[in-house]
Amino acid sequence: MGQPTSIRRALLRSSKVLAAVCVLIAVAATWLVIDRLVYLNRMIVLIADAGRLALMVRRADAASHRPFEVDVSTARLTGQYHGTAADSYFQVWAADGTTLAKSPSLADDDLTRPHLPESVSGIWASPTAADRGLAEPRTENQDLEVIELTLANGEAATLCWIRYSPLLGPSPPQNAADDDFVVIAVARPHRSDTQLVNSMRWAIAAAGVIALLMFRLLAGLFIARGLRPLRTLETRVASIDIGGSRDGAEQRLSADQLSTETLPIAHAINALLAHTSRVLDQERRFSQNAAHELRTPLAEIRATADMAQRADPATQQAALRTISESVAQMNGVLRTLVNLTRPHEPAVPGDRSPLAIGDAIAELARRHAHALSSKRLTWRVDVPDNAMIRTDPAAFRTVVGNLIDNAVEYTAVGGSIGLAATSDGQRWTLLFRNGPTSLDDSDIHRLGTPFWRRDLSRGRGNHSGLGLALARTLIESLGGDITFSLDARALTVKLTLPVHD
Amino acid sequence: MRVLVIDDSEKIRHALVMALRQEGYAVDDACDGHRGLIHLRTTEYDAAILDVMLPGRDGFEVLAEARRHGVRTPILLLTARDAIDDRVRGLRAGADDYVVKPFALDEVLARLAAILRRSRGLPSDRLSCGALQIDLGSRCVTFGNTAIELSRREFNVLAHLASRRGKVVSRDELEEHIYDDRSQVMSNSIDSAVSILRRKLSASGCDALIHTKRGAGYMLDGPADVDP
Repeated sequence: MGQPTSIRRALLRSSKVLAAVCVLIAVAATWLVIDRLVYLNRMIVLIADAGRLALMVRRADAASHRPFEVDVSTARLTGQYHGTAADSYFQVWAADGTTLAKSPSLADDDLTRPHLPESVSGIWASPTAADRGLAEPRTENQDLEVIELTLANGEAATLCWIRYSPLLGPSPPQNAADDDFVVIAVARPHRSDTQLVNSMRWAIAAAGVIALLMFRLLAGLFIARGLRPLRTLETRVASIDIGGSRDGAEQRLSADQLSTETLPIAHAINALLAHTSRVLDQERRFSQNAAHELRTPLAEIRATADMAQRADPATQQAALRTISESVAQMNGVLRTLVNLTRPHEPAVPGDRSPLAIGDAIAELARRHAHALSSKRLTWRVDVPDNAMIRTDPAAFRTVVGNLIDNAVEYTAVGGSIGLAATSDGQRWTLLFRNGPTSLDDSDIHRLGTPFWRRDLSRGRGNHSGLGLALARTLIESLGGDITFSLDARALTVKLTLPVHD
Repeated sequence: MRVLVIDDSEKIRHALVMALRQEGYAVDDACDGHRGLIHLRTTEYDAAILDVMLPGRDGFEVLAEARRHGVRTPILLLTARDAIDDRVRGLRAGADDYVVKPFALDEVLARLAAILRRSRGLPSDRLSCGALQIDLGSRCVTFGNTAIELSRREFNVLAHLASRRGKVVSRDELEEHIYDDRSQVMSNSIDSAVSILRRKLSASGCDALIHTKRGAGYMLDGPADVDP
């Protein structure tokens, strides 16, 4: 048997694993989502910057009527464009590739002018800007191209560009040529986003750890609370100390504060305790009775021996005979006790052989011929001549002998003893009927109980009250059954045995 | 002294009766509770030995019934049951002592002598009347330094009179305590025993101790006790 496991620890361990997996999944998912969100945020910022630049170009154009010459620096100063920080880059080209403006952060460098597909036309504008009349809604073919590039200072960056055709009003001018457009490119280095991502990731990791710790704490509390009835049961069970004593087995578990799950366990333990109590009680009574039955002949031996030491030689001889009888009686009790407590050896060894029932009964009856005669008992036997049974002959003779012995002993003078055997092909039924007897109805259920005697007197013989108990044990070992009934002061013992064991 | 033995085991009963008679007790016996109770209620025994496990009525019932009917006879319980509960039950029912089987006869006899002594309020097994010393344990009688040889019957008469020193004891009472049921008691048995007793005491120099109270019985009385 391995080491016992703790349910609480197992639950805690399982919950911790579950929580760790959940947190890891959540962190990983969030981690990935953050990348995507930051990417989207970067796009939004770039697009917004590009949009603002386009708007400034449009306003400058409206003010100067020179659509392709715009002073972005002036626009920046007006606060309409914020992408002039060191980490923001933009460049505006005319249709012929001439740089119209660029961010100060580029200094002498240029952004890569994107390849412009012929199909691209119109402008990009957010729906909000379109609603305000700042720009036309984005046409179907207008597209936003994103390019990952490396800036001149070696930083990785994302570039977004748009091709913008100047519009001076709600509708494009009629004379606007196809090459009347500017290309606006806005770039943003990854550095700033990386810092944001790292900060967010650390925050998520810290939140995960805190969540794990909180889960551990709460799980411990909830599990402890959930296991409280089990703890209560454990404490109550641990407080029971049977120690082989009957008083210990008399203890019972209280059902107070037990849950519906632990209540059946408590009931089962209480049933087990009750059973143990009964067994211990039976064992105690059996031991007391056995001790009593053995002490009586022992007392006879000792008292007779003590008396003989004071007596004359003739009395001593008589005392020796008395002692011999008592030894034989004690030996009989011991042998019966051994057979009773260990019925499988040697009384029922399993050696089965054919046995003529009638012959066995006749042989046993001859042993009681004197008692039958002296008590003027009528003896009737009704057993078929061919009555054969395959059984353990020694055990069978012990059982039938004990039944005849009891019948002879406890049938009143002038009474009768009848024995009949019938078979249905599967089982033999032997009926012993003797009467009149002094037994009453209250005695019937006690017949076969070890050491029980109707008459406590030992003066009537050497009956220890074990004969019927041994008979019951042996018959059950042989696969049979024995029952007792009382009718009109006559006792009937019904014995059933399989024809072939 | 007369003792009753109640035990359903014939062998134990026989051994006890034999040993007690050898000790000089007059002994009656009974094999079941009914007969034992009848004996206890109809005869004034000096002591009784009572088995617990008896047919008819068990020893506890016999004991309780006897005490209920005013029987004061000291009773020694004898049983194979050695549980504390059984002992307590027996003693509370009125037993004077308790012996568990298997027992040594000497122990039973010693315990019997002890409860007899306690019942008479004596500090020891010795009775005395002046220089006359009666040892109930060894059944020896001395007057001064002179030993007096007495038969069992004579010793029992003297011991019973000495135990009632200064009181008149009737012939019937003496008979009841000296003889058991199997004894063939003649009408003048007690007078004869007292006469022989007086003669033996007188021969040893111990005169005028046993007084005849005409129509009442006998009384043992004499000078104050002397230290042996």
